[in-house]
Amino acid sequence: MDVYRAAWKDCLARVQSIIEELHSPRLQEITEQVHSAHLPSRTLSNLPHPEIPTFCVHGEHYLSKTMFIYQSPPPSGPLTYLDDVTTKVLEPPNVSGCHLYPSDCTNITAAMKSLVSTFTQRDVAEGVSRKWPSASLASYDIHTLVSWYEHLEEDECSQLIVIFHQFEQFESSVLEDFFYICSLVVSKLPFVFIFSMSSPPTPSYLHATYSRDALTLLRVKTMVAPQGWSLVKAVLEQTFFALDFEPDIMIGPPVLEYILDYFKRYNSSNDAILTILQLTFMKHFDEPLTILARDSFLSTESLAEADAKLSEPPSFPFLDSLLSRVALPPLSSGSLDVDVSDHESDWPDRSIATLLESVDAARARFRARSRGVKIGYRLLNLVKGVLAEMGYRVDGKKGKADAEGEDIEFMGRALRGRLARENKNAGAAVKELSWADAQRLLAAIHQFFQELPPHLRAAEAKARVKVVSWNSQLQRVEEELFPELTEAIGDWLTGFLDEKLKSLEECSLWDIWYTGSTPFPSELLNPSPRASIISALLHPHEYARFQADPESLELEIGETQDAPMLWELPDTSILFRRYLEGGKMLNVYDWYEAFALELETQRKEMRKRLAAEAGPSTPKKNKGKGKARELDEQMEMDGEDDDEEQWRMQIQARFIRALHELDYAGFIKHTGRKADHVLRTVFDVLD
Amino acid sequence: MSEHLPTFETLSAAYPSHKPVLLTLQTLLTATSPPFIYITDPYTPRITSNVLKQFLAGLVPSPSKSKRTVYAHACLNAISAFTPRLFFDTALNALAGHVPLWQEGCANWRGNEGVRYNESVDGFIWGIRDVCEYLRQGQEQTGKRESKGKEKERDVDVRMVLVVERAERLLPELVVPLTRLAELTQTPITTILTSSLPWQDTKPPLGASPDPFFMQVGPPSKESTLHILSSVFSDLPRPDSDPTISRVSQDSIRTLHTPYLSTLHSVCAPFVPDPDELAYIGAALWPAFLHELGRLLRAHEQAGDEIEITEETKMRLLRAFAPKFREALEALFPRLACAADFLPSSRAGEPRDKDTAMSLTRTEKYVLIAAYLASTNPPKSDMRMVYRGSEGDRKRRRRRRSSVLASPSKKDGGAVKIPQRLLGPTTFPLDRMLAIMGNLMIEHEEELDFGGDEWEMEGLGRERNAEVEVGRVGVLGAITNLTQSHLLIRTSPPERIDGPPTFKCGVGYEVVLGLAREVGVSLGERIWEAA
Repeated sequence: MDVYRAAWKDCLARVQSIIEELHSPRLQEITEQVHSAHLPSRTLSNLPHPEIPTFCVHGEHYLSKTMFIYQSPPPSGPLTYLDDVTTKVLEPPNVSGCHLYPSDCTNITAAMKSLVSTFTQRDVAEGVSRKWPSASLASYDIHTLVSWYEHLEEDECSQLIVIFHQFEQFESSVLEDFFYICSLVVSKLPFVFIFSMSSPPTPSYLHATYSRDALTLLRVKTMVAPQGWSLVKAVLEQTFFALDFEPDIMIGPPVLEYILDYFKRYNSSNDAILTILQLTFMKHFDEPLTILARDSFLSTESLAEADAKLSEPPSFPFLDSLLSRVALPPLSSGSLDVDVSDHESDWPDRSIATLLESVDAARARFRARSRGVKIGYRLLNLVKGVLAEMGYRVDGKKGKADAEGEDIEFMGRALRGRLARENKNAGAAVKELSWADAQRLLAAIHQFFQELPPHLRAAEAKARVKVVSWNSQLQRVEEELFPELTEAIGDWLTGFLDEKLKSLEECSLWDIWYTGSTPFPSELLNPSPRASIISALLHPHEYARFQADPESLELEIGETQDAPMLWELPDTSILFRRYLEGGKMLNVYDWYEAFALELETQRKEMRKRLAAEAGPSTPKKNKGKGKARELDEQMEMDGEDDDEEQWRMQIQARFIRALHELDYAGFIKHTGRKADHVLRTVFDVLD
Repeated sequence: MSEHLPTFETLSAAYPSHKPVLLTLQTLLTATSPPFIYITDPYTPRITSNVLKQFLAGLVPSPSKSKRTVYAHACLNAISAFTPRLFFDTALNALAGHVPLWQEGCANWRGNEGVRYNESVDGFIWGIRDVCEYLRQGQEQTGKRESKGKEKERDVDVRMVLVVERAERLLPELVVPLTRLAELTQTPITTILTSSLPWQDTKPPLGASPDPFFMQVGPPSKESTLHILSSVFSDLPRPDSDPTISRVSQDSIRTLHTPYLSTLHSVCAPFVPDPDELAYIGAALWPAFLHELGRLLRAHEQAGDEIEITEETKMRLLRAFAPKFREALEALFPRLACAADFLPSSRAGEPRDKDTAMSLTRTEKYVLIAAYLASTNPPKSDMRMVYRGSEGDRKRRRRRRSSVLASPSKKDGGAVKIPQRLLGPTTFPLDRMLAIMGNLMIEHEEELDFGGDEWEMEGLGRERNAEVEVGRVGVLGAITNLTQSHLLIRTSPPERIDGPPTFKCGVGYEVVLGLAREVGVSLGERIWEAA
């Protein structure tokens, strides 16, 4: 768990810093615009009436958060939005801010009150108290604000900024009045409104919801936070394919594909991506082995303590699985197995410490490999870019209909190590380069190697030297020798990329650091509640079993799945089956009779089985959901009593209970139309 | 009274369409004023309120009479006076000419110490009386000081005018006392309510208030609109940035005003009669107009310091600029853009892309298409129009459609059925739309990745898949999103939880057609009454 937290924290920090970086120019622009909103150069003269400068900031809600983070160290004097009174007292700015939340503005009085009091609070604290609160202006009167503003000295406060958080949640009729009142005094009070919106800029929420009359009072300027595919790509590339950042976990191609799919179909916000990544991380760390993802200390302080911890009996299962994983040869027998295999002969004798050491070694290898993949990916991208600029095509396909899909596919194949075709194409294209183009390409590659982070640069020294030497050769090569040189470069490039871009799954213990091709648990993020409730009611056993032991399911799924008899199902399911067979309205008494009949069969069968097995210890029918079990026990007792009256009561109780469960899940609608009848709400269930 | 206030004559000259009203008001207020006047102005409420304010401020007592008359007035806005207390405070302060100061704790005007006027209507009535007394005394004192006891016995007449704008939004409990204010307070006060609604629609029930003296402001004529526009344009600044323009004399630029405004009026006034809006568009376009002028002048460069604008240049300029008016009208009137966007500087930076492509996700597009189908097709046709179970069905459906198309032409005698598309969308329950959407997805989402739930989906068909897919939270979330942006309209109240919610489609045929093209659904074959 701790390991997960640490790993996710790293990743999150990285992603957020990237996003912030992408946002910062836009933020800068917004702040500038806001602060210059009342300058004469930005307004038109001769408008029939003054307008309130308004900025619609579209983007996720975190934008406003980052805005404050961004501005908390004031870049220059007036650039501060003020949050709390303490900051206000500390440095008197000439911009005052006010935050309005939807909960403040349930009606116009409350809205005006929070507006006026936020601005005037400071001076009230300073001691200009009212002598007769009832004999002076009301605290929600805009004139209070006017008089407050007029008592301020010149330049003390040049702007009154009102920030509307979660703008979509505001009552539109209240805000229309609010705008109207503010616009009446806008010649006296320099208001600036900022709407923080989360809906997309088109179709515009503002124009759909607010009347034209209200909009004429505002001078709306729309600001869109950067978003869309380019942002996602940047986030993914710089998080998982960045050379200067090593996430503890690589994500696999299915997750990438899922991100793309979800992005296109449902939600194109950054939060969605973060959620997907986080879920991936969580699922990944479900695996006990992943405790080794960061280090081999097993959430202790040192290797020795970890050793001690593993020696304790409770951790033997873990040790066992680890041992078998280390011993197991990786999926494909790559060249890297050799150093593992020489240990294999004596693995039972190995101490825990050596085991952990081997895990360390595997981690280092994996890291190196993933670095290689990253370098390869970057280099190939670079070469592709340079070649595309010169008019060569590396990827065979023409016509980029689906650029997003291609990006993802490319990343996925890079991770799987299936870019051989691209590598070959790139090499082939290099061979046909002219002299000038070749020089440009080499220069670009050289620069790429130069800009590598130091630890990587050392590792790639050989390649660098080669590039440099070619570069110098190119300067003095003769006409007829030139094809040979490009040939060599092309071959080297293909070889280099092939060597770098290898599947990560070839490493030993790869599944600790790489999610591989595990599918993304999309049900968690985007469930289909209705379908799953119905199927759970129809097939309760599968759900119950899965809940109890997820792994056993895969074993059993191959077995013949003869549908369980109706009487074997839990009560609610029996009732639901009967429900599906009914008409539009159900007579509750008939329903009960049918249910009782089924329970009767159940009792007979139970007796039979009990008689056959002769013992109270084996009536476990696995009825799921736990509740059936206690019913069984009750039933046994009842069976001994053989009290018919009690049995009837029990059926009734069970019926009522099941009925309520269905009612709770919304399958029944009560109407007063017919006595003792209920209305079905679900029809035509595909079984 | 300061001297820069407009007199009655200049005001009525500046606003010709308000002249009759002003004339009547002038007569009434200077002679015996009725206690309650109601002014209806459905066309230009903002201008009317401005004119009224200026008129009242300029109301000078006529010195020739034996009595001195003091005028006090208060202009309120019914929207900003959203509680009785606000209304009372604002009215009394304005009538007494009192400006609350922050240093004094924003104290209201106080007549007698310790009396509160803002608690109830009763207090307000006392307040009016005290204000009246205060005004009379104040005037007497100044009068004494001025005339040094010359005409001590001269009476002082106080006239108070209370103007309430947007009277249709007045708090209901205040209407009756306000209309009977003079009667209740026994003071010479006149209440003027202005509204864009006629009195019949706003008056309290049961005849609780007396009938007012009606006045109506007529629609602005062309001359008055042009007059207002040119008064707005009288002191336009000229951009210093353009060197060519700065060589043109101020006077010759001024000669451009009239043709510019009349072109503006002739292009836009048929659609937007409001002078304010026209002034807005005119002001927004003026810098661009000058920019264009500079461009034209540069093209025909003349020597010399002073550039004269010839008739020919003028004609050429207006002709070149005429399409801009319409373009600006389309963007500015619904406020899709603000005036600052039309500055030539912002225009040069980035071409305004006029694409209306909506940034919707794929699911949202499907939802909209399905909603449109559910809103236009009759419910009974769903099975035939949308369901494509097998090849056989498909053929049958085609045949059906042709017969449907043929049928309206046959019957020419009976009542012609108007296509649903022209009648507007009908409501539909959520389930129906989801079913249609599921069918659309079955057909068009070939490589749909239903990944992640194999263990549940084992051995189930495409139809089942689609059903699961349309029940997903993402889809339902998309529907909520669309409802929020008013592309779908929810017709059942959100607090009702039993029964499926019903919706209406909020977008038109063209938009849906565009969306259908994007996702590859052929819309034509699925609409019951094809265009």
